[in-house]
Amino acid sequence: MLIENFRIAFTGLFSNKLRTMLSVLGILIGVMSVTLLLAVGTGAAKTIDKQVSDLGAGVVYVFPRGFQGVAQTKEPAITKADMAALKSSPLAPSILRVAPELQLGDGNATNGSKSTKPAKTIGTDSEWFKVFARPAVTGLILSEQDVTARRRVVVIGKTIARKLFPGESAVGRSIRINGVDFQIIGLLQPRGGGLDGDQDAIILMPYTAMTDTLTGTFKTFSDLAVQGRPGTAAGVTKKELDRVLASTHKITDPKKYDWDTFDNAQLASITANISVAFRGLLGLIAGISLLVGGIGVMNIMLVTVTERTREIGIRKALGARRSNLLLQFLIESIVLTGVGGLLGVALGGGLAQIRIGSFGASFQPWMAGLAFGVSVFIGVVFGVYPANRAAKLRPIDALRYE
Amino acid sequence: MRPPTPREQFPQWSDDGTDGNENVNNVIEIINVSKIYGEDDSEVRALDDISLTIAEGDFVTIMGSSGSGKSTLMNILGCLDVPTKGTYRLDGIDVATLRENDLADLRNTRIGFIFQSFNLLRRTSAVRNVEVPLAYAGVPRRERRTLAIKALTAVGLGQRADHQPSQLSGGQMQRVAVARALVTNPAMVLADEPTGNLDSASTADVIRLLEELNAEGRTIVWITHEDEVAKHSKRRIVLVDGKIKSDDRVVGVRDLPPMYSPNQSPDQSHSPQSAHQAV
Repeated sequence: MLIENFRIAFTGLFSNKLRTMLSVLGILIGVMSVTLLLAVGTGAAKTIDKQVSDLGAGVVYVFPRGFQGVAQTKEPAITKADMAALKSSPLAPSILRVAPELQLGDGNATNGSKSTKPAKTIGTDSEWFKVFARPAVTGLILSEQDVTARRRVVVIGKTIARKLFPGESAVGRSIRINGVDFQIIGLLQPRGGGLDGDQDAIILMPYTAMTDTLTGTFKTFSDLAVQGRPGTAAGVTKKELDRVLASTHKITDPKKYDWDTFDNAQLASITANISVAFRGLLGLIAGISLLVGGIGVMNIMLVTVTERTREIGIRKALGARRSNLLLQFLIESIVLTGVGGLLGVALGGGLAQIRIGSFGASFQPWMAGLAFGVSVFIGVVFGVYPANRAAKLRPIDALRYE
Repeated sequence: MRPPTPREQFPQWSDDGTDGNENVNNVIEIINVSKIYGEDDSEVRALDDISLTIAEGDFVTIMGSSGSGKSTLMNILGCLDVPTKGTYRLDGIDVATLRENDLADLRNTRIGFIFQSFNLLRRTSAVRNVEVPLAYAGVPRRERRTLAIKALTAVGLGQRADHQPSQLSGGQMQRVAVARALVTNPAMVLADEPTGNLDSASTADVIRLLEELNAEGRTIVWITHEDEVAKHSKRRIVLVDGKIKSDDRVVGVRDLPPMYSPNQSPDQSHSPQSAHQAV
């Protein structure tokens, strides 16, 4: 009887091809958007995850606590002494590297008449390139000697090079930053855009040279980028870091710590929240289109039941039970949405292969399963009422129907 | 999953009536049945306090002009409709006590319907139309096909099993309907003006088929307004205004239908030869 029902369903659906196609189209669009938006949402989440890890794997940033709200006897500062302590303290066995960052707020780099505003101008040392895994693609990175000898040299990102030296090699040339000349010794391997802006619109110089020429003598680094040993949880690194700074700053009460930390785990959880909200929104839109498709199917099924009232009467006279007719029309509705679902998954999966720039949707088999499952479910939900209406018809009324 | 057959559900039913049940010879018992449409002032009594019994193996025509209540009676006999008042016993069982699924099974296996408008399923081949009641009875696919082909052959349409209803003439469609009515081997065939839309040749075919079914022992209840048809029955009931006006027995229940013998049949020249051979 089940096979029979499928046959009846296909006969019914084929008997009105245009109408069937239109209601299949409704479901198709719904399922396609579900598939596509799932893939886009997942792709976006993956991109964000990658960009978070690009910011430095297992890196904890430590920076002086803001002045507001905390009464302090002296200005909070993260200093060279702190950096040395973090590198060598027996209290911090998990800390692998520490890179200082001294950020120049409003840098402006020029080469003759060409000028650009770097996203970041950072005074640092050789450790930075290891912590953030940013080797030079041409030339050199900063060395210990560059820092100690306070050399006026810079390593630049690809965006800066392209803007100031279009079509030329930048390494070995001179660049003027806020009126001070620096020599370019290296070009960073490009990384592309990230959460933190263009990772290639960046200029790096020895922090000693930066204080000499651009910022004046500093009291504090903007932050230290502290990298734990491989496999160390950010929480552990943070705990050790707090312990070391508590001893160098002579503060025992955690509430009075004059530094703050920030790590990728926090960033990851923030971005995860954003990505959940993003996916929820996409899901909502997809759900609405699927709902509209489902209502279309229900509408068509109600028309079908009305049109076939006489058939229902005949079947009842020939001994069909309620359940037979319920199943018959339910299967018809499920076939309708199932076909729409299959096509929708295929189309959505196909569209998900298209990449736009560095961003690509991520289509996975479970999405196909889910979207198809949902389409069948829609068939049941929106098929039950019309099918039940057919099943409940009194045989005499159905037979008399013209 | 096969639904239980009425034989399993109602063991008191028996094909030969030898189980000693006193009701068994009366397939149909109608006691003080009324069917009333509307209420109060606009009340219409389609059936007005009718009592009637029909014995197993009888061939009854129910006649009357339109509005006499004959179709209403037919619908009640076929368990398609329920009486407003009174009792209807089919094979000794009060159908009012049966639940919907039992009624469906009853229609499926005990009653074969033949309608004036044929009521074949559209876009469904002749053989598939005949298979429908078997499908609802849970007969396996292959057996279903065999039985349906056999029934179609019996009505002389074995060669047209794969034709769509739209490819068949009215007479052929009605013969498909007869095949469908007899394929489940029902005890009773209810025919509601089956020849009303047919030419005289096709009418003769259908009459012949039903006579043959009756000769095999099946109860036939035939609703008609044609005297020509009534001549073939064993018993003639005339309804007027929802009441029985006359009830005449022509030949005994156990006898052959009056016109059955080929020598006596006025319609012999129109009889389909294939039906003769097959039955």
